[in-house]
Amino acid sequence: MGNNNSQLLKGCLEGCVLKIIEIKGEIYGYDILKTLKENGFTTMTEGTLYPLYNRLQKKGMISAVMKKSALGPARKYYSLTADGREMLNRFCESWNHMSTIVNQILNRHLS
Amino acid sequence: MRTKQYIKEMNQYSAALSRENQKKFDQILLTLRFAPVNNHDAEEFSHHCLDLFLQAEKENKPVEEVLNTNDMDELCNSFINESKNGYSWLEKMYWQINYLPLVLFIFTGIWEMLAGFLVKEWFTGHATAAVPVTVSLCVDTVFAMAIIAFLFRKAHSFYNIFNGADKRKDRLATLALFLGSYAVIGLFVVSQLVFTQILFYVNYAAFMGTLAAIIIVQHFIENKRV
Repeated sequence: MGNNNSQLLKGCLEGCVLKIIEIKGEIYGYDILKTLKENGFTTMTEGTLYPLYNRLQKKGMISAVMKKSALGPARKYYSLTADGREMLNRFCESWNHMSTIVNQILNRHLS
Repeated sequence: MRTKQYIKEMNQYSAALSRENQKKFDQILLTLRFAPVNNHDAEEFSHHCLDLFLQAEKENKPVEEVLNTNDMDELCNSFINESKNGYSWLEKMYWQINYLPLVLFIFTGIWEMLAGFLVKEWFTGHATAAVPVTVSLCVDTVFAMAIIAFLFRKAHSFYNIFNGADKRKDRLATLALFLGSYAVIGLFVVSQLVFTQILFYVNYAAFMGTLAAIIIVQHFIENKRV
């Protein structure tokens, strides 16, 4: 059951990450992980997320800027691009459509 | 940031870590530096992990809580697998074998060809740049590549054994490496004696020049990110 959940969550990860970046404006990777954990992605690690940020950056969905940090090492802050906003809108539409269909079928079984 | 800037910052700021966290961070660093992934990505992620370690120490939390895992190997393997998922098949192949030009340059070029043949020829008065490529040289080169691939894959395990508390494992690993080294030397000696057939001749300067050019191009490609 746990494995099914994590596979489902992984499929929505890109969209969720883009949404978090949209809400926060400019955000550091660790803060994205904290937000995901607080909202149910409890098994997510930086090992899974960091390559995702790089992929989104390569596709032009997010942009990154290095900023000095009080702790020492410079930090990468991510923000959403126009293309990223468009991708997020498409994800939200697909999610709404899919969740409506799935809920219809699941509710049919229950009744 | 360029790869060397990441490395410079890691060297600078990792000294601030506690002893226990330093060991865990070294484990991550070692695993990622020998992994078949883009060097820049590996150093960047290690740099990011260092920041998380420092963040954990600042918040007085265990680093496992900040990283959201108790298993550093699992963290590294997730990163490696997720990174490789984004690679083309050519990139995947490249990162598996990117160390080969250097192995050919040092082992085949300097050790086998220069020290093993040319120096002897030059000392006996033969001014030659043509080196015979024997079956033995090919076999030895393949051995060397296999040994280095094995050491890369096991570097992390050896680090854990030699820095762990289990002294028995430490002694056994030391003995295994010692015996392994002698076995490898034995294999090289047997190969030199048995596989003496010359396949073709190669110009040493051209061979080394080509390899040097490949290594330089690799260096620029792998460090080109800003």
